[in-house]
Amino acid sequence: MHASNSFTEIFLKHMLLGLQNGVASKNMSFLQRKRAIKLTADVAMAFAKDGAKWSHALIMNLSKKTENRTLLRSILGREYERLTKPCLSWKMPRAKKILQRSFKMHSRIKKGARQLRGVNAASVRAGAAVTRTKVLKRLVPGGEHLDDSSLLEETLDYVISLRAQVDLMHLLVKALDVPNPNLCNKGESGEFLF
Amino acid sequence: MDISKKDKLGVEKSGDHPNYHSSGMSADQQLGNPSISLVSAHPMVSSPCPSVSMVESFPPSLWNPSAHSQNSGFCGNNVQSSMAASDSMPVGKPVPGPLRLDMGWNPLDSSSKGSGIFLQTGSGVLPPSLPHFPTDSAFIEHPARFSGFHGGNLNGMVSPFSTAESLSSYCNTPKGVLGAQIQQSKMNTTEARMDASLPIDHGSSSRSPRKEQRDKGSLHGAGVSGNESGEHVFGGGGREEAPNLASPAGDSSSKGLAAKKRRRSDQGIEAEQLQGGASLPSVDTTKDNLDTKQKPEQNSSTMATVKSNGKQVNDSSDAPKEDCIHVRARRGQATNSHSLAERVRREKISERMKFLQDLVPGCSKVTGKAVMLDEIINYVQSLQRQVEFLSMKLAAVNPRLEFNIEGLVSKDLFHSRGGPSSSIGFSPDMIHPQLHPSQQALFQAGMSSIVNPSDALRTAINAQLSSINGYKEPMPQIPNAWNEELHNVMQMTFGPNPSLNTQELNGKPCEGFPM
Repeated sequence: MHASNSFTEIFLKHMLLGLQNGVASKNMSFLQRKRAIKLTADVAMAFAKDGAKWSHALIMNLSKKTENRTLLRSILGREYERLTKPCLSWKMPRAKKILQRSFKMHSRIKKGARQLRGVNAASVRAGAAVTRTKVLKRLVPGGEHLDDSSLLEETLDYVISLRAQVDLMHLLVKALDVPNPNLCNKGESGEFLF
Repeated sequence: MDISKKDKLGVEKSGDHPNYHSSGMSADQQLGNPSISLVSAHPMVSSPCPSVSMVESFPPSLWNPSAHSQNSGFCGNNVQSSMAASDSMPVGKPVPGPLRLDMGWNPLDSSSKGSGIFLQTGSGVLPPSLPHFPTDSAFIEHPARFSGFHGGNLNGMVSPFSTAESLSSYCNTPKGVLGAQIQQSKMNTTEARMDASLPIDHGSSSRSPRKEQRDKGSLHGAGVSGNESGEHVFGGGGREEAPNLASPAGDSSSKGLAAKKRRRSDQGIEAEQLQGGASLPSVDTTKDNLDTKQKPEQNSSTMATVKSNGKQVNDSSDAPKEDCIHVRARRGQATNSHSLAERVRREKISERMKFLQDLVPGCSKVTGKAVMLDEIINYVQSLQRQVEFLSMKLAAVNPRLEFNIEGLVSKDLFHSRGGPSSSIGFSPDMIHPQLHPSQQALFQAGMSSIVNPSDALRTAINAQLSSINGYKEPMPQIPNAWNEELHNVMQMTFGPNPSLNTQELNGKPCEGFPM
């Protein structure tokens, strides 16, 4: 509970920080504001969940665009430098990549030879899984370099984070909704909650 | 102080112990219901975990000798602890009455943080030395899956995950309890604990890897749980450490750890099975399968070990022994090292898919990798779209964009914790009068409730996953700070009108969350 508390805390705190710095009292167009809010939310989520690969990748992707950098810097504070440094562990050396590619080609050739006998259900299923895995890799930040099982794990983590983000933003929307000035202080404040 | 209290409780509860097991199992099934009834407060979701955590935060008040029946206690615990927790904030005092101790989960609860009571209640089964057992070791085991993260309102979804991880550590608990245990998982705390207990675990990990030893309870259970927690920590030591683990240097310890992970994952699998309503026999078979799967997982990096073991165990048996660390080739299957490793890999993937299946709503009936992946992709895409939509809504909802941060969250929170991580100073007089105290209450109540279900889910998932590959949750443990601060703020702002708070808290608007 406490650790999850701290996740929510960190998330919320950074989100509000970002919102205040990046968005509040600035003359921005609606779309700009929305972009800034989304950026804040994503960064806050990634920062709150600092142990995952996807969080690091997400921050890195966001920091690639220069216009995001100031906001990122304000939100992340001291961590900015650490987090925007590329993580060396998943930038595979080129030689390894070449090896992997050649291996895949080789296995594909082998499979092709085998499949000349006919398309069976298993191979079709396997093929479908592969394409979907590719799609999933694109969806989950930082998923391109991962193998299947760790990809699934990151997806799981990412899904949980996304859910928390959605819930938190829901909460923010409800909380920040300016109450009707006609409502008096005491008993009626509960009304607007619904 | 804890010890004395625990003793008292143990004496009182020991008589009720036999009831707890059975009630525990039924409580397990009831878990889903209280969560729904809790929607008003927030989908704390069937997580006794939050109740436990609530319990933890008010330990002095919790030692209520007036025990409550296990059954209702468990479910009631959820409801009431959550209510009590939310109530206590505005009221400024923990409400000991409604809070019920989960006596039923005695043997399992030893892991609950600081809740010596739980340990004590388990005393009927386990030796009294257990209560002293640090919660860390208790945490161990639960097949917590993911680093404690809260997924927000996981209304329907969380129930499978909300079991307390603490429950998993003890083998002798009935399977139903295990299931419930999973549902209560509180991963985050577990992980912190695991870090603490790592050194101990290393020492003990090499000792008793046998699962049966847990049944003997007490020290064994503690040791095992400690081992497992150590294992968690170990894995947690970070994925970076995993490769180190894999290196031959850590072979022996990794073997011990693998054995423990096996056990942990077994529990996780068992819990999963239970959730699916699987019968015990099926659990056993899956457990066996998992044994083979989990054992090599840890050693998968050391292919040589797997290979040699596989060849040694050529006389494949239908029921692989649990004390071996090597992979057993199943009857009729190739014992080639490649196929063994591939089988391990496949099983790992299928296990993860199972977790995802529980997580993504509406995927329980779906089988097959491709369809599952399809569903997962759709779900992730829909969540991302929701985030976009909500950010648009946020942009529109407050055109003046005066985010009353001071008003929304207590000043203390920012000042005390904002110091290290943010250089932005808030001027104390930023509180805008326009922000209603009701909004604040709503927000804070929402925040606290948002934490619980996600926490439970995360814990469950985390425990399981970390058992597999040492996924680390580096979240700092901030004990009670959040609660205390909310507490203070609530006291400050709601002193004059406590009734307002309860009204708002009861009318939590979380039903709007699309799940």
